[in-house]
Amino acid sequence: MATSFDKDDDHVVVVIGSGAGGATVSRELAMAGIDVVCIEAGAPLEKIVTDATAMFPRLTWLDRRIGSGDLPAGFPVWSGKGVGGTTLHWTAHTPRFETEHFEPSRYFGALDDCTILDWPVPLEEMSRYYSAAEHSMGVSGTHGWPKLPESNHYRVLKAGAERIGLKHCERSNMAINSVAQGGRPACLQLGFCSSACAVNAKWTAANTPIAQALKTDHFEIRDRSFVLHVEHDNKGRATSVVYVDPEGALQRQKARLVCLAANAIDTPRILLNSASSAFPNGLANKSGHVGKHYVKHVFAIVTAILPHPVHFHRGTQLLGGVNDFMYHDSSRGFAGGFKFEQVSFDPASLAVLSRPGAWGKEYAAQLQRYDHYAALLVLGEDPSQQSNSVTLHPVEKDQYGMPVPVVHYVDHDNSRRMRDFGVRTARELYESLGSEEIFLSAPPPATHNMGTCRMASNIDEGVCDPWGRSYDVANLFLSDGSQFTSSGNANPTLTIVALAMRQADYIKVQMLNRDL
Amino acid sequence: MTLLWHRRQFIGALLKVSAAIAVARSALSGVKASAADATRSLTPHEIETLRGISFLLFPFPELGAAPYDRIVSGVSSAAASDASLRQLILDGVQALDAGRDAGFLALDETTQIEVLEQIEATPIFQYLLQKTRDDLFNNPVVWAHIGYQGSSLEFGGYIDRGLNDIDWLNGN
Repeated sequence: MATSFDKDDDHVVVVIGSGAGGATVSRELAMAGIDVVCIEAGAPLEKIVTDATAMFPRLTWLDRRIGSGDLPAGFPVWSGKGVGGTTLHWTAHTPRFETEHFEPSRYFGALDDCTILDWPVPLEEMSRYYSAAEHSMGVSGTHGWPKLPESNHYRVLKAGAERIGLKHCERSNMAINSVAQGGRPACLQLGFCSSACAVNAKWTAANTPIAQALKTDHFEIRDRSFVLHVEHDNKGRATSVVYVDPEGALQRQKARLVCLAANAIDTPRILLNSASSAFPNGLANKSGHVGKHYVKHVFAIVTAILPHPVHFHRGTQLLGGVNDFMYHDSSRGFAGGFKFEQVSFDPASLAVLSRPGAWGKEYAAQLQRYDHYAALLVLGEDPSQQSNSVTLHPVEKDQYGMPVPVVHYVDHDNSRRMRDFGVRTARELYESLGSEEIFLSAPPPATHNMGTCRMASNIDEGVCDPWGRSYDVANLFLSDGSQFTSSGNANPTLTIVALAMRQADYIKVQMLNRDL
Repeated sequence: MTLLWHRRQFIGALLKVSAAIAVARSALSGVKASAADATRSLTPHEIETLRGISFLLFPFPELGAAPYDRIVSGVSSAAASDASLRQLILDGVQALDAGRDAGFLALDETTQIEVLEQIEATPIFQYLLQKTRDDLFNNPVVWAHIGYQGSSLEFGGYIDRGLNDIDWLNGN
């Protein structure tokens, strides 16, 4: 029987968002017997079909956002909407941050116009939580689960990497079952990872932590419920969360503690929209850092037509990674590091992205060799800049009357140099395989959004402490990628889950200590 | 990369969804009624012109007319219930025919392509490019032609259907 809690029940923890962070913190607390109400803007995903075009509008956050700077004006970021959040869309690659990426000041420290900060988290503690996160997600390649099998596309990447002298092309750890486990089957290699997995071999926040939380008597999810703001009392403690329910009525859920996990765009948006006389610049924003230091990843897509078939649509969209450039090396002419990750596209996406705006006989003839394409993405570390930010639009409102978020982002010159180096190397890689048609393609808008409520060791430099707890509002936690101190060059979900598990342990202890 | 590039990519990516239609429409809404009378439906000549353009955008002559008919019938039915789109098409075709005795369709293919290159930045061209690209590359007939096998769920996935079957890497 589904548990439900009264809206005036002020002993519940309210979690905003049911993606990787929100679902994980919910599950951890509910399994410890702490009552949790999770408020999710989207709906549960019903029938999943192997059709990228049909799934796109069902998975995607299409509420209005405004891009500025280098971002597309109408669709600045690509995040998910639904029970499970962006993990419905994610491609399930689960690298850890490496040691040096917790200390970006070592290589980014000298960059102009940046706001670089090191993570205030002990590394040995993070590796323990990484391991726990991998176990909870059933990550293939860890805990005795085999890696996913080799595919044609992986072998092409590996062969090209070897031909140009690179040594670290490997199959990545993936939160996709290589063998049945966790009540989910092994991967059938359908190739529709980013359109939700029709067999649930891919871990999502919906099929694992939310499903686990629902088995306890301590968890209620309210989907299709859109949070507008968080209220506080005169002691500066969060007291309730105001949201619009599926019928369009305003509701107020009282709370003992609030965990914000609405993605690095909407988490600061909600805080900024919760401004009050005590917090004129937004809740938990005495430091002025809410919405600032927005980081994504340095990103580029290179597509190539190979002389022989690759059939890159067969199998998981991501698998192989080249890690030779992941650590800083000053001889390369840029600071920080990046990775190559193989990536595949369905024909409609390939036609849009491979040569943006192209048409005519030559392009048609290229796309006719769809089965000869290979592609990789360059994914590099993005240095924090104060001016890259999420703010509220002064006039534009969404369908709930809430100010539309404006996401502003301008590439740092270091990122341009890193991208150029990566693209040049990718060209060499594909040329070594005999390709004569190699294209710098259009990257989709960012799904890796981080840093907008960053954690810092002191109140002057960030929004939250090393456990994601707001410095200003003692019972308010940041539980998603917004708490990242820096972007690293790892896909963020594993780190979001590890931090959420660590945060939940902290909350449990502090509750026992009567601090929360 | 340029902002223009981003915008194009965004428009293209979003064409997958109805939201994209809204974007396109908002771009079209600036077009005011002009010479062409948008109260009528598309004429056979206008439909023929759209078909000709869609073929020039992504020509797959081996597939015959059917994939292009499918695109144009999608555009016509969208235009039937959307006056601003209808206006855009009518004006677009009229502009292509203007000053040419026998019209755009009578030009030789090389000249037609040159004419299209000159109007690349116009809303009608961008609209047709998006519609053509999206319809064509979501068409199973085209998929079969270009080597895309589509959904494999019905067949147990690709795990035993060519996941790892290429043999050219070692000898290349």
